Amino acid sequence: MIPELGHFALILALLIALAQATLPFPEIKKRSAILLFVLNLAAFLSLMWAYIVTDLSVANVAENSHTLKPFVYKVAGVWGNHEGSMLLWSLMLSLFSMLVALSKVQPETFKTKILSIQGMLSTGFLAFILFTSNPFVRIGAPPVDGAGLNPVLQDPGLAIHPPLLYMGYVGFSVAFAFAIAGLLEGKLDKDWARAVKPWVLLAWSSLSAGIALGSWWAYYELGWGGWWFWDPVENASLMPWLLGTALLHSVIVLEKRDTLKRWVALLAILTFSLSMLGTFLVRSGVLTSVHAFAVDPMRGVFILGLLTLYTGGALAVYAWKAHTLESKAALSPLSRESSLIFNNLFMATACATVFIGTLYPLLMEALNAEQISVGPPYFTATFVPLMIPALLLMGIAPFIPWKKGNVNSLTPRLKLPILTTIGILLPLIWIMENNNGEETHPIGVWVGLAVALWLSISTITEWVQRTELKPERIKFLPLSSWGMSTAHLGIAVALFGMIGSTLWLQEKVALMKPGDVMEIGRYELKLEEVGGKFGPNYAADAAQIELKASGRKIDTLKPERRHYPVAQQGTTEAAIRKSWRDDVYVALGEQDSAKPEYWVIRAYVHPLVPYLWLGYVMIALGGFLALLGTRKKKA
Amino acid sequence: MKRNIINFLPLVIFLALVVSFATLLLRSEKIEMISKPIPTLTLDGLKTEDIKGPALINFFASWCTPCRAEHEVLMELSEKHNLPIYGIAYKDKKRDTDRYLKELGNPYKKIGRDEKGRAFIDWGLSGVPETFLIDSDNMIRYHHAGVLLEENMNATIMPLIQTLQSEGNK
Repeated sequence: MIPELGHFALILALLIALAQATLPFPEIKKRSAILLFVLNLAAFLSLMWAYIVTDLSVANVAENSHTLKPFVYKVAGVWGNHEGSMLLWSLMLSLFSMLVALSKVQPETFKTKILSIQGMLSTGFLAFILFTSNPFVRIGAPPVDGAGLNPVLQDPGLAIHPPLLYMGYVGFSVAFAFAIAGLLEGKLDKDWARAVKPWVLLAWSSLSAGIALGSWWAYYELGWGGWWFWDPVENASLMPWLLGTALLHSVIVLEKRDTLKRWVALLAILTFSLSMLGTFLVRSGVLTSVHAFAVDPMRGVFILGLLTLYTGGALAVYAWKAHTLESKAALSPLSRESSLIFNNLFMATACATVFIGTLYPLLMEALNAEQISVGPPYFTATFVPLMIPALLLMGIAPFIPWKKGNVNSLTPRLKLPILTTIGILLPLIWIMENNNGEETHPIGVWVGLAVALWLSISTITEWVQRTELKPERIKFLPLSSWGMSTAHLGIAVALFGMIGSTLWLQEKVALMKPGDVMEIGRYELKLEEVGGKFGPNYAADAAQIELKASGRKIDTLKPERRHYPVAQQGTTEAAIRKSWRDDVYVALGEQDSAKPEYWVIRAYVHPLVPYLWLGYVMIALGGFLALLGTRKKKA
Repeated sequence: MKRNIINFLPLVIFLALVVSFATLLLRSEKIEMISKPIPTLTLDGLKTEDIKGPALINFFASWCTPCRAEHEVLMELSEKHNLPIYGIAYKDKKRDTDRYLKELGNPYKKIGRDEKGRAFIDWGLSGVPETFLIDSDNMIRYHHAGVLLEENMNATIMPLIQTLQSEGNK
């Protein structure tokens, strides 16, 4: 009964969304937006209920859940599959629409247009769910038990990863709607920027946090010993993040200087378009395999149609209306706004390289009906060189004043961070090259370290110069400034982690029997035993490994190989010993078939990797601080 | 102000992308290198004169996940069917290739190191893995882009290999 109610709520929601999109009465639009959210929520909760009680007559539950699954993962299972995640997407879309309806966005005609556009978005996605991905379909003969959630996805990090990511993706729909409404009204000015900024900040911060969680999950759950793989699924979230970053910074330029109007409108449209591309291509499986089109052609065609309609429609509005937006302010080459334009250029170009690297293999696959990968070498060659000047600039830009900077006043302010960077870097190179014996560090290490040092030192210097370290100035520093410094410093901190964990990574694979010892870096690993063990819905081989650092025992690591009989799938539970200096990461591989007492043990030492997570947290926190700042200003 | 042509550019590019994507999805031909002699190879570890067909030439890389998927098929081919396989490691560090082969086994008779991706361009590749089947005159007889699956092997490649091997024996 409850799934039927959910299904019915979804049908009603489609009608209401259609009303919100088309009916020309502002009051009705507002009420529809609220009602739409309630109906979406009802549908979502109905599905959740079906998961909680494991109603196996619902096809979606039978395929993706199991009675023995822990409660938390039953709930998270709602969005762990295509249909359910689309429902979550639709729910968030309606949530943002309701928030706009309840907000004080002015003028009324502008708000009405935004609500219409959001109604159109909801209509399309609800139709997509109802006609091609209905989560409430019943099956005639329910199975005895469910087919289980993908065991790899049974992880707290992943349970909250999609909602955060979607919050980011869908959050950009508000900027998208704002941009189209602004184009239609011919009004995209300072007020527009001030109104849209909190939404952009909310979406950007959520997306940052979502990407961070995904990366964290890949690192410690997938057992691959890395945190970023240039995988199409990861790239799909990186693209809107890069353009979103550009949007965030150009909105600030628009707010301060009433310029860059067309560019901001275009960015807002493209950022959300990439968000849609990200979710749908990933969720429909198209990005991982074009065969998904063949398996369910209706779904693929529908997705392509929706993307074409929304992005094409928005760009058409842009094409016909953008000339009405006039940017008057002339830009001086040395000014904050110009430096932000460079930021935008770097971000947009970086996004384009990721776009090509992600879609090109997909196109090739379409040609040959086979999978091909361009791989990390492509991204290392294109993305990384773009980021180096972007990050150097990031250290300078906050020093440059708005409107017109002056080289003479800028140089003394930059002298300190430049000299400090060199003063730390050169001795560091000297010490490390001399302590390293025969082996020299790749040049990339020094370039990376120089950039990270420069960015952190310049960010801190800028903060010190701004506050002059006087308590009252620190106290009254606007939250937006705190946000900027925190996020920028976060990038620098994350960069240290990235450099350490990729360029200084130590890695060893060995066939070991109990009693054997492996040496890696400053650690010694002694395999004590491998035994069997049972969890609630899995069986596992578990190893016990004694970890010694410089001769002293510091920990016992217990990596596992789990087997989930229901899903017929295995996972690797790596054991990690974390410290601020480095992570020791041990994964248990296969048992040797010829000599069963031998096991494959993979060990990695990831120097500085904790700073990556710390950096991620700071980046997202910076965004949320700036968001709080926009609320406070209004009050 | 007048309408500006430049403002139409994003729309035009987007539509061009959609159209090309849609047509590419529907069309499935490609310029092929079939029936041509193999391009010259001057790689570290593998030169043209080292190659003697009938044989397979397989482009791979340790960082390429699809390559992992086809590795077992290659192993079986080299062990059971007496067909030499020449590997070309595309943009891969020697250390990584060695580790990869140590982990999964080495099906290759010889391995060329294409660190700069030169051979990749000469052979007209679009990604890794790709595999070429050559006959006893070192002419390319079959080209497969993407993962070699068991079913590709059974349906097209194995029969071809048998024909080529019997041709070679004549």
